[in-house]
Amino acid sequence: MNQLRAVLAALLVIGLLITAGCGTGQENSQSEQQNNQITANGLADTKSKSSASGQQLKKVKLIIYFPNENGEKLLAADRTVNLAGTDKYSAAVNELLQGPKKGEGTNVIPKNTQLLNTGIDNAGIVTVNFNNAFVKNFTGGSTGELMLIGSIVDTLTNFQEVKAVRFYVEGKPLDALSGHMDLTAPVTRIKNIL
Amino acid sequence: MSKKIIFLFLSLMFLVQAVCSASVPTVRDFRYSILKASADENYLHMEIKLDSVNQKYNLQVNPDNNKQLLLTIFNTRLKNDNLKQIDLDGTIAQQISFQQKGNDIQAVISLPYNAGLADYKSHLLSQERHLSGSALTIDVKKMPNKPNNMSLSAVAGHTIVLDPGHGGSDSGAVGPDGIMEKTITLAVAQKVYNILVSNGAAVVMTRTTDKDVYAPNDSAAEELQARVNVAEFLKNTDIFISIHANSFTNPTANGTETFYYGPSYQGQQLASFVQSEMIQANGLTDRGTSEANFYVLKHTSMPSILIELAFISNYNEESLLNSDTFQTLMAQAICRGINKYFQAE
Repeated sequence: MNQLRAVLAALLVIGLLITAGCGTGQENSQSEQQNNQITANGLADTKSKSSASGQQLKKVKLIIYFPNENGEKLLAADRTVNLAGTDKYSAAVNELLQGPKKGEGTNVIPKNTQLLNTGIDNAGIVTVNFNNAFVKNFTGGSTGELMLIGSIVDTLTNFQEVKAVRFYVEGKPLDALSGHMDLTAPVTRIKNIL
Repeated sequence: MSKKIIFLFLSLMFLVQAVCSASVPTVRDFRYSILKASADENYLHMEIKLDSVNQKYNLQVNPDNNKQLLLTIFNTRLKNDNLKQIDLDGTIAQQISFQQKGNDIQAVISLPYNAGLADYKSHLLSQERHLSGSALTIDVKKMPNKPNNMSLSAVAGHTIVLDPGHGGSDSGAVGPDGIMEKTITLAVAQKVYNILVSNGAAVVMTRTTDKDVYAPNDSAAEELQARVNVAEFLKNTDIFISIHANSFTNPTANGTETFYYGPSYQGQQLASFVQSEMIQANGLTDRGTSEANFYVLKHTSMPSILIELAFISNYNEESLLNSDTFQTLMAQAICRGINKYFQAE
């Protein structure tokens, strides 16, 4: 029995050594896969369970985006959120506001940004209404702006019914953030940063 | 029985290590010399001996230190420690130091001047006639500070609107040392203006001082429309060029990029001419040209581009952006790009 254990342990260590030993260049494959895996948000899993109070506990899988370290493109990240007491658009944006976990990219959300509310109209235009920190604490740059607006728009347009996103701050329409993107019209999916 | 297993295990470990180290090529030797490029110009010729052929490497300006060239030789080891730090001529380059960084060797070439002024080339020579292996050669030359008298014949007679990004109550992005984007964009635009005007172009700037174009504390959209209006209200504006410095939350982000508005083929052409001239001149990371839904690009009816010179949020690029030499280098590159665009038309 002891011998068997020793054999198993040795094999395990050897296995680890061989896989860890010479290998390089495998880090990229994961992010590439994620980028190809653009599925519609909310469709992956819509299991519903009835809670004691009769309310529906809905768990939904989302794909959200964070910029890579050099601000060249967005990286996809998976989240499972509970929609009890919120809507899926707010849930998705709030996941973005919490920032990336380790290895998911870099944080681009201006400090103290809060989502006040979201809505959707018949044409599939989602409105997102942030507090003033969204503009006041934004640090600028074409890249900063593209990555911030892009991560929100591309996350929300993962929901099949969403066509574009209109930005608001403290209830007022936001026409430009810091002198680059045209936000006067709803922003459609930005494909060239995915 | 268990002894046999331990023996088997140990020998396998050695085998794995042996296979790994045998497949890793090494850097064997280094030497340099000073050669004549012309009667009054020298260049530094460096040779790095490798025992591999078709070695993969990369040579660029260090994005974290603009007085260094950074050479990465992938998947190699240092043969001996004598190579760790070698003094060079002192005028063209001060020192080269080799260091093991993970699987790669990184060689830092320190310069006594801004790397934007370094003209550097690298070649991999295979030495089939001698021993196995190859030699990686790097030639470095310091470019003279060129004055503004450039000859750009194709810009004559064209009307060009220059838009120095931000200004007045809007500082634009601010770097870690407090340098403001609005100051850099105006300085570079003024240099571009001087070169273009001296070559016979009609040039109009959306602002020539540190001010808002529309009104102080105006809305961002009003301000942007006012800049568009300068180009739209003039007759015969041929091209619109907006000059910016980039920024990102992550301070390591770096490089040069040019944006154009998607449907405009001419805008894309102009962007790629200017981008390639800027990269040739500054040696920074080439972020390429990208399509973007930017206000001033979308609402101007003529070919238009928005240039992001470098990242003011990156400590080293901030100091580059703030230097007169770099600003001149970039202004000249932008003008050469504009000239090539009109030549191609």
